[in-house]
Amino acid sequence: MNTSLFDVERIRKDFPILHQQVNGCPLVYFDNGATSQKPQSVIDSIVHYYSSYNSNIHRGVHHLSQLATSAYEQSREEIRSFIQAKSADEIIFTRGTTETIKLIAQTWGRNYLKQGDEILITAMEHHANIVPWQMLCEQTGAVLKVIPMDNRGELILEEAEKMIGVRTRLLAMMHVSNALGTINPVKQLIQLAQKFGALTLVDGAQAVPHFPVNVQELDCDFYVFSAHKILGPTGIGVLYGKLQLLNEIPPWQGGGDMIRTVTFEKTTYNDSPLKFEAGTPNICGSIAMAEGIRYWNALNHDAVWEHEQHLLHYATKRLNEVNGLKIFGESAHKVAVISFIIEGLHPYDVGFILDKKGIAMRTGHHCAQPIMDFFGIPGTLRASFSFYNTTSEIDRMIESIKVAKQMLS
Amino acid sequence: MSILIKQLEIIEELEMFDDWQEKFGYVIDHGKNIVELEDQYRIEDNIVHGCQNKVYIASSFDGEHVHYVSHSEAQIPRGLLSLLMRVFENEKPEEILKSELDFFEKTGIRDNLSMQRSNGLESMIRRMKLEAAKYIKN
Repeated sequence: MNTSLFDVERIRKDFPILHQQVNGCPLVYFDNGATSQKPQSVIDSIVHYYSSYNSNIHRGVHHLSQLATSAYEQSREEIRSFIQAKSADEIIFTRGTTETIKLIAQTWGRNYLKQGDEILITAMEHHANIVPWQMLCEQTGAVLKVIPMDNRGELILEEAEKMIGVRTRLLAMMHVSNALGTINPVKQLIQLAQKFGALTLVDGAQAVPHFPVNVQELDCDFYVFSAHKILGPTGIGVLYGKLQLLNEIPPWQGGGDMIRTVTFEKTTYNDSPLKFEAGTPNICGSIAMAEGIRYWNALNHDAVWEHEQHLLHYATKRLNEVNGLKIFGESAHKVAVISFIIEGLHPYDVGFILDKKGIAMRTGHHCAQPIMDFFGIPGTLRASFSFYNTTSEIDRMIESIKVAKQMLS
Repeated sequence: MSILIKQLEIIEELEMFDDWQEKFGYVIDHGKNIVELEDQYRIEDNIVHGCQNKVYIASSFDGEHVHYVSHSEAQIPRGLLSLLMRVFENEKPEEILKSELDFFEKTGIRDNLSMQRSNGLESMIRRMKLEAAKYIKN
């Protein structure tokens, strides 16, 4: 690894939360798949907003409102540039990935799907990309189909080819698996769906924190993600959609900036993005989200990728040295996420002991119960790394796993 | 032996341990006393809701005392269950209902549990008392 490009110790100084003791031990934060930590600049942007220019946006003529409106719209532009969208009008601020998928299901889905139409998802989806489609199928009579995966945690493309057809109206899939780390061949699948005129939605929640995404190159119709997984605050996320499509589909919630004119007889709606941003939006959240993106943009992405892959390979090697440990998700194309179990030990017990050693990791089904059913296990322990993690933290995890094994055997 | 005395016994046994690792070693070892739950008890009605992993509790009554059987997939909850069973086993339902458990607090076990696990422990205690309540007439 070229360490001159990536000074992890310098980077760690930007994240105040990392420098604390948990249960008497220095914190090791390996739960980045659940949410990332925030650099000081993001925290400062929230304080600065509320102490300097907090105001409602778009309708005030006064100075503070103009400052807030300008910062809010600059954030939209920052997000556009981040995912290489054509226009800022294609960027809609939402509450997060889960709400965004529901938005598409309830606007596009409710209005354009009919009985017998098919929605295709994959076997490794997060519940957020399963449940809204099940609800939609109940409401419209459409059918939900699932592209299977193999034992390595990779989608079976030959099966996908057989399943996508003239009845397919939407292919909704995760870019990266939160439970297994697999990077799915979304570009290939999008092209397949396009042959049959199906729309495509990509859940990018676990992709954007790890590598640059270009929505025009992917040519997906919708791309969704949450700010809090990529250095930003909770409660804000993004819907990217192709502009023509966003202008065609009806609004979801009513009120606030989404209207153009209102009379008791008829209401006319604004164009995208305001059409989908009813009520006072999360102004501060969008500004802090953009600040997180600015931090990310200032990093050398090749060096970030190399560092994270180094962590992944180092941790995989060290974990494989532990007797009875089995890793789930062995794709050759993975982000730095490792799900595992230790034979004879319950993930909750191991998670408890790791926590006592100051190590924050996720235990359970990771909101992807079908994956656990596929492997026939109740849940896993998951270490999900970020660019601010180190190999010495991985060593601490391994030592603590050994303690857990000793206590529980 | 009364519920109070059994609690004091556990407190005394745990006093010899200094840190969480030793204390939870004791809890885990204690869980090994639980006999394997027979399949007939592994039914939906016996599942304790509010626990992160699957926990079963069932009981029987000999006309005077309550007897418990239980199971947890994970070892730490199994140890906590085992301590609860030690305290409540073979006691009168009235005594179980009016008992005040404080040994988890006095031994520092409670302080070491996360909020979710602590809620899970409360669910187990509540379930054991509800089981006892079934055997009180009127």
